[in-house]
Amino acid sequence: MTLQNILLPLFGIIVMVYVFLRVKRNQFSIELSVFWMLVGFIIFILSVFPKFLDIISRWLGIYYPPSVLFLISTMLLLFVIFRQEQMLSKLNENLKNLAQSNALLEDRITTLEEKIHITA
Amino acid sequence: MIFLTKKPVHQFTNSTGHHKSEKEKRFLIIVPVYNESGNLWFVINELKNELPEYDILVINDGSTDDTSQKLSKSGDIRVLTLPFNVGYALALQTGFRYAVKKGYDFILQFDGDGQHIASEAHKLTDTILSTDSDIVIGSRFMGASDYPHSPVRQLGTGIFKSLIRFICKQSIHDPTSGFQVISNRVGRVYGEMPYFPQFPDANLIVDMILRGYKVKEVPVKMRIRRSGKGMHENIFSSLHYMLLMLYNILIILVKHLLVTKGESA
Repeated sequence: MTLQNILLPLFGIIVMVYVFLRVKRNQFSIELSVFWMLVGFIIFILSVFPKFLDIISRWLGIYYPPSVLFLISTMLLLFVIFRQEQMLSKLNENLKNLAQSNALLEDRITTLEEKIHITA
Repeated sequence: MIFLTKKPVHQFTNSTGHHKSEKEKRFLIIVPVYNESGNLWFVINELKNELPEYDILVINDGSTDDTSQKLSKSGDIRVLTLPFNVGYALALQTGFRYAVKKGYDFILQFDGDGQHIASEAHKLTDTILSTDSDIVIGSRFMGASDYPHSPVRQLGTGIFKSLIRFICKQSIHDPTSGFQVISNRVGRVYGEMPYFPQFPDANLIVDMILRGYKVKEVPVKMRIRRSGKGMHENIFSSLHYMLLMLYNILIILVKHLLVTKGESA
């Protein structure tokens, strides 16, 4: 048992436990946690059974197995960043709509207040 | 670009009031301001003196100087206050939403930095009343113009002018002009537009012409800005602006091509 053989699976487990605790304390949405739970799980599986990586690399016809890891993780990270940017622009749009509506409502309140003062 | 045929705009029978006489038509002047306390009274007084029959709406785009305090003493002008700075374009959009909600027939965009001259606004409003245009742009570069411009910006303006002419078969000399009058219909489209562009310039004009709206340009005089900074000051921001604008126009073009192809299929 080398240090690597213990540390990496442990890291996978820590990720899963940490994500679970965040969800349990309502600090992370269940929907979004699925991905990170999977990340922890994959780290765990690959560090316990490194042969998986060899099988996948032979499958894809890539001679150097670690490069499969880099390829997949880079693509996954790009996907996650894109999804986040998408969400960010949606949130920005929502926030803008809220700000505009807020300004319009404030004006309505002032108008109503002025009317009340006139009749009172 | 043969299949880029202009679509006729549906005629709405709503409060745009094509039946009203010209006297009854209501104008709203929208003035977006962000930290313009230095120019504010100058601009507002000028508008009040020159265009007393029009309502004025100032949109305070989350100013951090004493613009808010000054506006609170404004009395007869309406003020919308945005809770934080959303940028010039989205501040304008807030004004469009307000104007459409209140049923104004026409909306006059007027910058809060003192660059626009209120007495020149008649040229725009007269044009939109006497023609069937939906958008009338006040142009600095039409006819005999003595407005000073850096070579970089001249090049940029030239590129966009040719591009608009190529796509829309119509010359627009000053697409970046913020001095415009738009109809209620256009205000509605702008107000409801999701992801309203950060720079509503050539891209928006191309989009509207392709949608079948009539855009007209009128030569106006403008002042050189009194204080504060312009929007595209250095080379890098100009370049960034130009690339963003070209990309934006490309997307709009492809969108319209897909729509017109889908309709003919």
